[in-house]
Amino acid sequence: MRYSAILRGMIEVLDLHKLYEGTQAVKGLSFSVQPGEVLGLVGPNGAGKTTTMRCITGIIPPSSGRVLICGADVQADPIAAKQQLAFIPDEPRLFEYLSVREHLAFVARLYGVKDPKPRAEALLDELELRGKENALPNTLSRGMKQKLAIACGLIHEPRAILFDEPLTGLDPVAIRRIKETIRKRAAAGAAIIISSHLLNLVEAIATKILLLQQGKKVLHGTLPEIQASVPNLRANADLEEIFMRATGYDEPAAAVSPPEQDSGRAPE
Amino acid sequence: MTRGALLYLIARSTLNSLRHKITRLRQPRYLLPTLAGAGYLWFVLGMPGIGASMPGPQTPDFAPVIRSFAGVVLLVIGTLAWQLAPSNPTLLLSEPEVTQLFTAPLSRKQIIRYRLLRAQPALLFMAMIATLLATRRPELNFVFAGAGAYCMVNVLLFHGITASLVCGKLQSWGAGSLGMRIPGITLTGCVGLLILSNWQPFPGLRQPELIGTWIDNVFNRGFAGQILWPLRQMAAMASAPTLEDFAPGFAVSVCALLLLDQLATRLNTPFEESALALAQNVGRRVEAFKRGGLSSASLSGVQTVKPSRFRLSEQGPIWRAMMWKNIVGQTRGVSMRLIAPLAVMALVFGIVVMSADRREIMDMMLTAMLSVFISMLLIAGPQVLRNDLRSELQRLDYLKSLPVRGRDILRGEVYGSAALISLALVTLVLLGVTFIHGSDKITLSLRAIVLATAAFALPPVAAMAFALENGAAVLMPSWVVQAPGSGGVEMMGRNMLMAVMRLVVIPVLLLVPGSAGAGVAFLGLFFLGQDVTGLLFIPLGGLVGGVLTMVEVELLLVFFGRRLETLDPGLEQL
Repeated sequence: MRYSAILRGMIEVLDLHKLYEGTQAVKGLSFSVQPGEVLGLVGPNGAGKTTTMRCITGIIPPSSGRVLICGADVQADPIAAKQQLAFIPDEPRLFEYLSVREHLAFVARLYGVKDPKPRAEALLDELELRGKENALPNTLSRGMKQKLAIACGLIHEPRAILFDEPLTGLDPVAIRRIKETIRKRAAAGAAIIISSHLLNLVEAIATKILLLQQGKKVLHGTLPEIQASVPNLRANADLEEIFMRATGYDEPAAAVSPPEQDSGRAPE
Repeated sequence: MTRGALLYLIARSTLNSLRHKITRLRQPRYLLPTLAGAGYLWFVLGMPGIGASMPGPQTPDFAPVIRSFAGVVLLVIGTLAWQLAPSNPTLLLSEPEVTQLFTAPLSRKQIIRYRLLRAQPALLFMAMIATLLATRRPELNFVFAGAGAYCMVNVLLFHGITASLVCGKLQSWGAGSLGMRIPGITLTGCVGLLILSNWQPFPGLRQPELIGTWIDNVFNRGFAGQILWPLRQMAAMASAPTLEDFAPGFAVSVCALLLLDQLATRLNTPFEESALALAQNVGRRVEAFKRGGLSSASLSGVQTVKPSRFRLSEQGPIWRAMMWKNIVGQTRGVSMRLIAPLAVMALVFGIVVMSADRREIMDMMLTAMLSVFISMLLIAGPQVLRNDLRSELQRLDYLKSLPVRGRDILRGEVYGSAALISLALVTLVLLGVTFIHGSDKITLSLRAIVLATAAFALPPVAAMAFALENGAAVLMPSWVVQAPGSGGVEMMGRNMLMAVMRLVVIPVLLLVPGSAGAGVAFLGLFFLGQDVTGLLFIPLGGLVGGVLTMVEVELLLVFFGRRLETLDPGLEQL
């Protein structure tokens, strides 16, 4: 079997290719995400992160290759695959005429959640949406909208969750709350992919990192593994330094700043 | 230096927008509507024979009257600008303009002049249209027509801006809403006094030839005539045949622009706050419109709503959940407060119709009114009620990540809106069969038959109209989403092609169901006669026609649903 070498995971991407009018956005990408794992998907702009996320969620069909969610092929059996999946886009796509509670009821119904009320109540508490149940999303703050989008994504207790820039524009309190939510879901056995440019977030929350550049996998593994795979890296190099080195952006920065003082990341 | 930067911004924005529009004509979806729109413009403005054969706005006999009237129109617009100025924000700028220009080292004077300059490409386009129109009229000079129209709209625009700035200045001095209206009230009073000084009784509409003389006497004689002389000259510019006729108006326009410029820029009105609020509101409205949303939300605080009257069952087909979402969206703003007065009005109207002496005329009126309403609902309803896939295109990626088949998404989207339109249609028919008196032959059973036929036949037709609108959103999403920069000739062409599609496709699709339904009704009446048994075949025909139409709708939804599943939001620039 062509894909026999790849371990079966909750999310499996097998030799994914995506061609856009002559441009190859994703080139032969393969990886898997196991239950409880948080994969940080990073890469420069135009690396193919969004295309990969869109292919995994079934929004666009891959040119070739397969995506399996809990063993269900996203192309061959999209309903079964999406049933186990949650996609939380960078910009909260909310229905402006449904209240917060109606959003949760509607999404629960789409996923066929039985007895959704206790779950909805729990999510309202967890994501601090209590008191806003009857609010229309247009009138909520950016953070509240994002929390509602996350609550909608979690109401059916998905086994695979994809976050696209989940913390953009959020205040520190909301960031902490959403980080906790992501960790909690991973601890409960969900496979999670986070696409983000916030490398310190990815480093803090991800158990594995996948670095893409020009549609190709450049690095994949735990932080120590990818540290080890990049040559001439200083000891305890953080993800930002690894990113810069692996993508070839570190030369100018290194030329103008002392390596020890400026390349380090402030501790959390 | 700064002036150069602002000019660069305007010039590059205009050129880039034009270049973008021209480049994308390589794609048929942009080329076709542009050709259709350009063809239409050519038909109206340029095709030999059309323009010349149309009755012109000016003939030598009526030219002075129309010039006088145009002066009065300018007077009304000018006065109105001062009336509206207190409630208008001082300067309309876009969000990026507010962000970039207000933080740049620019004076208010420069921003005001930039605002005026920024409007020039659109004003030049208007002037070009005026020039094209003038080329069809041999008695007009097309250069003067274009230049005159251009000067006139510039003065009107700057006048509106200045009026807002004056009111804004008054507000900054602490004037309340009444204080801000003082210039407008004063101006209106002066205009009223001018008119009164020359007042003559209106000759009435039965003698249209006297109206011109009346306008001339009231506005163009005596003191009023002298005061309004500049406005008449300005209005006369576009129709000036010679330089001598054009020059006074041009001089007036230049003087007016210089005066307005001095007034607007020397006031130093603090417009930043209101311009920012306006830009944000406009931005939100544009976003809401692009998403097909109900409206833009206010910037102040969280808006809560009562839970919808419609309950979402926890079980059942998924498309019903989509349908529920749309019905909630459509009815969120509808309350008993809105429905009750309408119901009372309909009831009162019905009672008046039923108790009227001249029942035939009242019946005819009611029939005509209901026919118009029903036709409007069927034709315009699906275009106006856009709370379906057309409004969901901006979140297509989210919709496509849900475990729902394309046809189920479309079913919910189409049937939600169609259900509401159908309810309105059947209500109108119910009103008709209840209140139309008719002859003695129109029995209760016949009324019930009409109602039943309409109830069977109309909802499927509404569903078909919505299915086609949503199908267009799937097949040509970029036509449905009003992208920034779309508009003008291309948008005109898009709308024309969509209208043709509606006018052609719907009748073609209704041909078979309509024929089958009519055939069933005809057979029943032919073989069983026009007694109750035979008449029952009329609603049966409606039912047959309705079922066949629904079959077609379902087939369309399956077809469009498959296309929706393969639609790439990235490629469609959604």
